[in-house]
Amino acid sequence: MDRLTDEFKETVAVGDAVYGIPGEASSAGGWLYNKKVYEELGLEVPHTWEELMANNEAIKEAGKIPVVASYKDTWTSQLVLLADYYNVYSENPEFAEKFTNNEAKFANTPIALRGFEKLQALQDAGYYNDEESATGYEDALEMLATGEAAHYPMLTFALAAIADTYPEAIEDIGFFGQPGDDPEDHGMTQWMPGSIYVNKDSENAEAAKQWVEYFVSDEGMETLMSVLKANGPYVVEGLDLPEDAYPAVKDMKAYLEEGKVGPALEFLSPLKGPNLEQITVEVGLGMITPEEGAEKYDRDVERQAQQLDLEGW
Amino acid sequence: MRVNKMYSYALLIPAGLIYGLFFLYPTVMSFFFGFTRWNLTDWEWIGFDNYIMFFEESSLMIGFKNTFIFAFLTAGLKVVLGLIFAVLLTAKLRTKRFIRSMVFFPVLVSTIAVGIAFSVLMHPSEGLINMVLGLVGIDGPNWLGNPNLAIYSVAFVDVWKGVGIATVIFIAGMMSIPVDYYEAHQIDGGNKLNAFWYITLPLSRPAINAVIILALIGGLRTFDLVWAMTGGGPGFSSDLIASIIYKQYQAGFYGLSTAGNVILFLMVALIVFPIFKYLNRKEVDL
Repeated sequence: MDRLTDEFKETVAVGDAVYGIPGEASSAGGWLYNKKVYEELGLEVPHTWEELMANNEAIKEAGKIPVVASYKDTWTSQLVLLADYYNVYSENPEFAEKFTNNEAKFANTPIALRGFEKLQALQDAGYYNDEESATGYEDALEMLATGEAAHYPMLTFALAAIADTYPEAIEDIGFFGQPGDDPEDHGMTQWMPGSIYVNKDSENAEAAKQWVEYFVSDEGMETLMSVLKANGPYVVEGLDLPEDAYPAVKDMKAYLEEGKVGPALEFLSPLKGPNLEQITVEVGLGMITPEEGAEKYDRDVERQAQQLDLEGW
Repeated sequence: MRVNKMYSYALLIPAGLIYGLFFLYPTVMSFFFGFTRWNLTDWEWIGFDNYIMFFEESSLMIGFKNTFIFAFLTAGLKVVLGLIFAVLLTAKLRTKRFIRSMVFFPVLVSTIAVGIAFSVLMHPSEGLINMVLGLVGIDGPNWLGNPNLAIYSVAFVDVWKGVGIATVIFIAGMMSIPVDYYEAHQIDGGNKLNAFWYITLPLSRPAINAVIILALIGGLRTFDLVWAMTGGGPGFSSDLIASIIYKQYQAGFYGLSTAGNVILFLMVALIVFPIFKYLNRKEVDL
């Protein structure tokens, strides 16, 4: 149990007791980018939002698509907002708790509102592809893998899909977390892995616990790694990624080693409004302003909290 | 005088039980659950909160506007186009039977399949529709991606898919008009247009009424086509009441979505009953 990272334990602990172990590697929400495009244009991985926008400008001038928006699959539109959560977490660690307790809102928390603003800034600058609403997730992966587009804000489980469909391209795909304003504080928003739990009333609880210990041991994890490739870093400390891990996963591991990682909001709060993906489409297409989008989402969350009958709503 | 009843009331029990259990009880219960916060196992009475929530929310209200536009537009087009097709297909044509089945064909295809096929055809740059328009020099719009256009694009597909039913009902209506009227009209020296206007149209009235009512009810509760084509988007711009209700179910808001269904039910009733009564008054006997 000591080998598990604190961020992971937070999501499987009740009080001081830890109830689960990670059943797979974690993943992250951030920017997948095509390293070949970066090399061709002589670009560096950006550490601030401004640098990222400057990269986008250069990519646009070179006649390529800077950022893919794949709003045909509406869920993909949420990523720019959700992946920005590291920046919120870093500046305002209590946001998740206050958000859950109806004390903080997206619309009146500037750092949280930034996510909506970034989503629209990319549209205003003309950095998205045309035909966003007719472009789907699969199309986006193709555009990124072929180098037609340079960036795709996505969850890193997309790596497995790219490796599957475009095996020759996976080595060219890199990853960076969605940057904020401080180059010294460039972190990554992490999605926690699915977990394995043991029922304490189980007939063979002791045996199950032993097996669980084995699972997170070096030997156990090596067996897991030999059959299932990771879409992100493992949340087991002191465990090295295998040689053949995707390059993007190695990029992600660097954030973990520097301790610049924050869990996504959905692992810190039970609230996630069901209409977020429609609202982020509206903001991403410029149909409504980021402020309107944030207010709309706050109302969506309020409705959810009332339907779940949470305290304080 | 005593009328002898043919059957005793006891014989009504089986049908009554089935009706009560599967139709009456769920209807009453849905009215009840509309007033609760409900997670399928536990419920809590919250009065009119669900209804207030539905009417306050702009993204829910947009569904009402879209549903009205959609229902009246598709019903109107189905009546007009259906009449035109029916007149054409009751005329003396060599390939009449073949054309009749062609018009009816889309009705038989699964709505979801139609929706997916048309969302491919309506792709702004790679879709067949805009490619053909491009050949004649027209720069086709983004049919489903333009928020102002999406609902009309879906309505167009709905008309294409549904006009076959209307046509068949009209054909049946027109075939039942006795030939004598047309003969009398011919002897009096009337022309074809007059024949349509003074004989075909009034005597097709029952068929027209049936089509209007069916198409309106169908349009007001349309869900599958819009879900397959746009998912209510972009954003909320092509949401219909039924798709909004579905999203509330998806989110686990069972009480709220049940309230939405009650609202939809009342709305359909409020719109359709007066129209039904009005239309029936105007029918004439053959």
